[in-house]
Amino acid sequence: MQSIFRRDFCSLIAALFVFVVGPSGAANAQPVKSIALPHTITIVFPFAAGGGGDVQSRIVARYLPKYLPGAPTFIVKNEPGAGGRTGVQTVYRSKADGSVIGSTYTAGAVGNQAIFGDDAGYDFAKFVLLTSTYHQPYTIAVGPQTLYKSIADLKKAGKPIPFCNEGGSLSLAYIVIAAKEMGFPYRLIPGYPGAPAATAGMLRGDCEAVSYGLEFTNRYLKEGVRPIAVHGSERHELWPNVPTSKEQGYPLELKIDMVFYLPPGSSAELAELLRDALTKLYQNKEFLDAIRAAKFTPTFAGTKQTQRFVSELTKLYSKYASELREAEAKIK
Amino acid sequence: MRKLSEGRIILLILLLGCALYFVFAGLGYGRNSRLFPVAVGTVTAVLILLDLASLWASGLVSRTGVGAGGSGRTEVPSLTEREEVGYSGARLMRMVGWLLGSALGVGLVGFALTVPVFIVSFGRVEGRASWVACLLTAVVFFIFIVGYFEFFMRIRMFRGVLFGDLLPLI
Amino acid sequence: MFDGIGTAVAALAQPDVVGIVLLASVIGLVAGVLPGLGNVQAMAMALPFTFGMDRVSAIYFLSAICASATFGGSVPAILINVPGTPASAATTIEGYPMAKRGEGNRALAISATASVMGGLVGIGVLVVSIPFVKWAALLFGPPETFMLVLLGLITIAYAIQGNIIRGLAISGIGVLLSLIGYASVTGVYRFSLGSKHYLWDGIEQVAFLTGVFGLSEAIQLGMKGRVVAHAEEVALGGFHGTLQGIIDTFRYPLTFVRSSVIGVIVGIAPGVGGSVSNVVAYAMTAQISKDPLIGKGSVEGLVACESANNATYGGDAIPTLAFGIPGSLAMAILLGGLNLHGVPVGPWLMREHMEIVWVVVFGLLAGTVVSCVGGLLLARWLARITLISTSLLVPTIVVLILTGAYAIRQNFWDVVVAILSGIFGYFLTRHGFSLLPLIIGFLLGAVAEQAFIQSLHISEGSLSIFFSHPLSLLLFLGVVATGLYPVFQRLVVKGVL
Repeated sequence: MQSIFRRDFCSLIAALFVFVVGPSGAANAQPVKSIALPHTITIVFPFAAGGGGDVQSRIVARYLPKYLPGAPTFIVKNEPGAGGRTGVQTVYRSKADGSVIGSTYTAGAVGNQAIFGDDAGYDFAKFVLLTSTYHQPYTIAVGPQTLYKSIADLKKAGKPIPFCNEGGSLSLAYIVIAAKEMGFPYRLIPGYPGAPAATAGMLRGDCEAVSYGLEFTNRYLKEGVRPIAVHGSERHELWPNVPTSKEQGYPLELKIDMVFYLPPGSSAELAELLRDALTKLYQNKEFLDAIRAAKFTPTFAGTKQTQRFVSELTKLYSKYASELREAEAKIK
Repeated sequence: MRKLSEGRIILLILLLGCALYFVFAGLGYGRNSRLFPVAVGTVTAVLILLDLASLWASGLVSRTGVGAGGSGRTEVPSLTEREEVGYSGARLMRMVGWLLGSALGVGLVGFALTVPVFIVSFGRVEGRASWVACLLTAVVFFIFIVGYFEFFMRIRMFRGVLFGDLLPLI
Repeated sequence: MFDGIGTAVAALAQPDVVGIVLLASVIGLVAGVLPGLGNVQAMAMALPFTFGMDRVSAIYFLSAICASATFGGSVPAILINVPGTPASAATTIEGYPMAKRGEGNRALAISATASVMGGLVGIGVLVVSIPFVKWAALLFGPPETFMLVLLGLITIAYAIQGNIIRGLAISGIGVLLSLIGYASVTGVYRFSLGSKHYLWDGIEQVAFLTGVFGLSEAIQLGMKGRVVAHAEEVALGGFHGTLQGIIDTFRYPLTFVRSSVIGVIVGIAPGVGGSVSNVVAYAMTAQISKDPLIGKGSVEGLVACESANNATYGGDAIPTLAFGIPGSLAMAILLGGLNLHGVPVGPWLMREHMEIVWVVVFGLLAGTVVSCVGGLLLARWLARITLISTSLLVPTIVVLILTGAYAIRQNFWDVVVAILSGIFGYFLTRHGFSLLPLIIGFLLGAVAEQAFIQSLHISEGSLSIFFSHPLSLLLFLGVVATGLYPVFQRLVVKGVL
């Protein structure tokens, strides 16, 4: 009888173990995924292929599937146009069923809304933000045919400095803000489909300067591009000899980052699933090595931090709203 | 050839209308936004008017085969002009009708139903192809389209408004 | 020059890419066999189906179709005196009489061998030109790009249309259609006809291209009649004839080289393609050949036609890949495919995406070789495809195009656009307008505007920028010369000059 009792007691404990520990254990080991993802997911990037955001989106597309149930196929679709608005509009109008993920430069997307208002074609606040990456300071760089060495030279030029840019987006916004803060005259040569084309335009002589992220600009130093300012508080390790805007008397901090986001109305479960996958992805050594091999530094910020960036940007653009609208009106 | 000339005139007038739309609509935009469409639209409209004028002039004199601003060599007639004997306006309307009907079918009942029905009905009505050939072709293409898009590429093909799908916003 | 070649070769070593190239070659071969269809229609129909492929596979797919259709067109040209594609028009003159004499296999073997060799010459010229073209492409800023597009449009309008006014008018319509939607250079949404959503991105390129080429052709076929072609079949002859044909090709090295060079030069000129090179090379050979069989089944004549029309593709690819200006209709579709897959076309393609250039090179080569080998083996059965009833062919073409048009964005209105484009394209061809100027205008119009507006920004509003840049000035002079050439020719004809 004692052995039977022992057997029953053990059975009871075993049953309790299965029913109590089992599900919670399963939850920790593998989250319950009630979402059925599409077979093919498109990452829409609103600039031409070749730039930093495009390259990183493609690397994410290659490695992310294994962190998602069903290992869906990822395609990156470039939708340049309207200074980065076209691709963002596409995501804004897409179905919130997981088939489309947006990737764009946060500052650019928020900036376009500040510049164009309703004409931007989207309300950034309605997107469901996932995570962000590619965090780096913005810069001013000049072409090899120019003699500028500092911001002071730009001010002394005696003419508006022509900047090649997309005609919208953060490139335009940061040029306008920097020019306002630093007091140099500028004019815009818009219409380039992305940073590579604009930089090529500068090298060709279409303009004298460009303003893009540090790591992207760094790839063109061997072509003759010369950075003259970094909009950050400290010198960057890649450019130890390039002074910051602060050192040159203008404490301006302008940053870029790339955000992954979902169309408005996307479910919380879907967002959580993708955030979880991206978080794990940015801990994967092979993926991080691939980013580094493409000459980018893999950075990562979770949703809360990303949302904080967006709030800071919104305040920044509100401060310069009239200058931005004026610059945009001149292009029209 | 008279029918062709009339048809060409109507087409040219429609193209002229298209060019003029871009000119007048373009004038309502900002400087940089209107410059190119207004210029191209104006030039295009002038060229179409010149072509219309040459058609009108060739109607007054015997046909020499040299178009306005032409190269000095005889303009090569298009294939359809050479085959005008076989051309039938009614047949053309039927072909257009089939195409518009296929769009209507897709809109109402979606691809899965429209594809086989269209293939079978066109084959039987237009060419009196055998039932076997029509049905076989319809089945093959139904399987290919549904199989390739729905299953392989997981692209949800339009189901039609009658089956609950909504037409996208215009 | 060789950067990116590894990616292209590595892709070709993968079984799925090999399968894609084989499938594409078969598709092109079959499309080439069917009179009324060709590489343009086959590529237009296939374009939406590449959406699910990675870009390398997609470009392999399209390039292989592009090259394989030409030999396909030679099969019915030789066996039943009906050219499958315009590029095989002159082939009927020599190929069919040979087939009627019982030398069908010999004629097909000459065609296949000359096609492969001609294709190699064309591709060889493309490869050799890459370093020069890469350097030259960097010289093209906004003013040069605008002038190049203008030169391309005028050249195409004149070369294809014969009537420069009509050609320019229809290319103007194409340019205007390309301006619908958001302008990238100004960020303004234009010519939307009240549409708030659908036309934001402009007229969908793939839907328009497939409609204009594919559906207009379907309407033509539907108007035609019962079968695509029907002619007396001929005897092929044995395998000995095939061997004889392969050897025959190498007996006329001068003819082969001359015709291949003609093919490449014709290909480089925007707008003219295999249909012209085929005829020009044959005409030149017919004039200078001492072969008494010229016009009655001459081996030399056949070598001339077939080497020229395949060498053309290498030439076509040069302006397409270097400047984003398509050398032919088929290259226009290829550009559409590059756009679809996010490859930036224009002078920076060779600089940033050499792997794509190599993919096109190997795709053209693979398509030529596979179609020639396959075509030789399957010639008799391929010729029978022309007996397919149009009442089955037409609805299948329509169905493929409509589903393809929908699949790109899953937007029903793209289906409607494809149909309206098809009807529009049909009426244009019926009333003497060529489609190529329309399509080139549509593909390049927005590029031209962007370059034009950028040029004005650079020069602070002065038009002198187009004349102060030496290359732009040179291109402008080319525009003027091409525009005045018809007047000059008329004056010569009239005896004034």
